[in-house]
Amino acid sequence: MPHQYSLESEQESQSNFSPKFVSEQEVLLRLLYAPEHIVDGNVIETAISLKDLKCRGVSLDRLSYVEKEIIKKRIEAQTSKAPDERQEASLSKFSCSDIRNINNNNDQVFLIIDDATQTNIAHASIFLIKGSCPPRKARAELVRCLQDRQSLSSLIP
Amino acid sequence: MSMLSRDLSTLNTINNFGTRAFSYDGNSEESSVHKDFRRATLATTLVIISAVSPSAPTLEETAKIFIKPVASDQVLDVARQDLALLAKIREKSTYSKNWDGNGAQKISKEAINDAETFIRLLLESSTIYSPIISLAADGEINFLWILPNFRFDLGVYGDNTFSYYGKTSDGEEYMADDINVTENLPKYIIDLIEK
Repeated sequence: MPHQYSLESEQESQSNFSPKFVSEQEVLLRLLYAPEHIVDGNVIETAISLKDLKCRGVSLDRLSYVEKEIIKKRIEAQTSKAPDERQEASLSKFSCSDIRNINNNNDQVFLIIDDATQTNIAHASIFLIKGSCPPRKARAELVRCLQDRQSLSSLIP
Repeated sequence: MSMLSRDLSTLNTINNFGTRAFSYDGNSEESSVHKDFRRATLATTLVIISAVSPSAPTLEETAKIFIKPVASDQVLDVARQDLALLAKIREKSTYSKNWDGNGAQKISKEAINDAETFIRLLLESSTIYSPIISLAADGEINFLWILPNFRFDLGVYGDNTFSYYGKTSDGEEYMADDINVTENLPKYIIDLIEK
């Protein structure tokens, strides 16, 4: 089901668990789940599913509010499912404005929404604004912003 | 010595005679082909004995234990680009549900078929740079070309269509959705990914 967010949704909190809406200067993290999506050290397009962009959102964590243990547990859970393949999880680091400033014919392409949950108040998501840009083109632009990868320990000592 | 062990011992002797016909020398290193042939011959003979001897293992049990394909060493010739790419596509079909540890979909047979149809058609008339073949969590099989002057992203989901987006280093863009997988890429795009 397509998401229902609009540009206005970015300017007010969208979850009762959220500290506040995501501001332009906030640093955001995207956990990369599969080694399949890193080729020659670069994040490739399939790290982002088109369905997530259009419907349920691409999951992020807000650095200002994230708890290291939450991400650590997530990494451990994934590692246990494919221990041979997922030994070095990494996180892409970028700013909110990097994503919100992507435009197509002067139209903003992505929304960043603070859809925090009870168990993770730092949760946010990227959504493609319907009709703003062809999805594959939008994804190509988004992937360019995900190339700064770091380990969890270097991001959150 | 059990009945089965005795049978095996006897058959092994018989079987060595059989393999000698293929220049097998019991004192020299036995080739894998000879080993496989000997195993298969042994298994076949056991099956025959099982059928006539009430005390021998049943045919089903014997088959489970001993039968091994003689041609098990055969592999695809991955030096051929078409076979190498098809092998990569088929490898993706072995990914189980939740292969990324984050709820990824299992790749459908339809998506595998579409990917194979697309790549076969593309390679019929062209020698191309090999793409990166990967999966997205939503069931997409993706072909990605990262070339010095062209980045090209094409995907299938198993609905008999493909879609793509590409951009040259000059900023020229190519994109399309819902192209039938039985149609080839436009010539101007093939020219960009052709060797």
